[in-house]
Amino acid sequence: MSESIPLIYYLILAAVVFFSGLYGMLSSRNTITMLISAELMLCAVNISLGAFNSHLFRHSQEGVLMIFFISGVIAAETAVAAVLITKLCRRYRSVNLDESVTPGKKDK
Amino acid sequence: MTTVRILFFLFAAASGILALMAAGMRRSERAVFSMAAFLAAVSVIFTLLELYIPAALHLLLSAGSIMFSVRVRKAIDGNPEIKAGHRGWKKILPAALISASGAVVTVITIINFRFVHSDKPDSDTGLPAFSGSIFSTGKDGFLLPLIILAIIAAAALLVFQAVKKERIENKTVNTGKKQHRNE
Repeated sequence: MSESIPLIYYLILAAVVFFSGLYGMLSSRNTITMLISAELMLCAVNISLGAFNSHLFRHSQEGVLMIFFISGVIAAETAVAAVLITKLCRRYRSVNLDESVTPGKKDK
Repeated sequence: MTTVRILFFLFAAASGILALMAAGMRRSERAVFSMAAFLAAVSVIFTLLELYIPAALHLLLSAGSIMFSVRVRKAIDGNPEIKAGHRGWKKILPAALISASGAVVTVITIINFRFVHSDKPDSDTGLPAFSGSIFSTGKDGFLLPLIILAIIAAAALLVFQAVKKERIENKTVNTGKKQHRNE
């Protein structure tokens, strides 16, 4: 099924997703958006690994294994970040890094 | 144009747009919802690549994102002033320029590069053998034990949630009784 679509198309999609994640990471001060951007970049890696595995190494499963591990990393990162963001939100009433991390602004 | 091609272009466009929406949305819950939709679109792309386990994994991650969006919604409730903290457009211009130029350079490199299949024989040890044994259902395979472990873990999570809910309810009832006695 994947033979009909060239590898380059998948890689271009992965590049677009990766750089939109990079844009979100650099431009936003919101912790939730920054977390989502990191996930987008990891997903771009997943897409490119899947495309390489399916096109170049069709009968082996190394790419799938790496996707498996990276998905585990995404899930663990999201779980830890959810707890941190909830704590941050309760303490500073904001998820914005500029408002919460600046020392002495809300702690007084 | 075949159906597979049409499906690929449709879901690739959807995932690209949803990725941009997730990275650039001002409201957090909408950004998380876009991320969930993006992960669902990516799982369709994995299905087109005939990689069914990653497709299922990304669907699971999408479900996790929806749960996360519910949690975000709860955290934001009562404080409607919380919004995504984007800087002004002049401040995000460098980030946009870096991302756009990086994307252009990467796409040009991908287009000019020739990807060739490796003819090296696989070794019996290392990553290929390990991945082969994890994802095979044969005598030496570990796929079925992994699935059983995942089902047991999901059941344990559900039971934990149920027990926790019951405990909270009991606590509330006991507190009520104590208050009644004190009165």
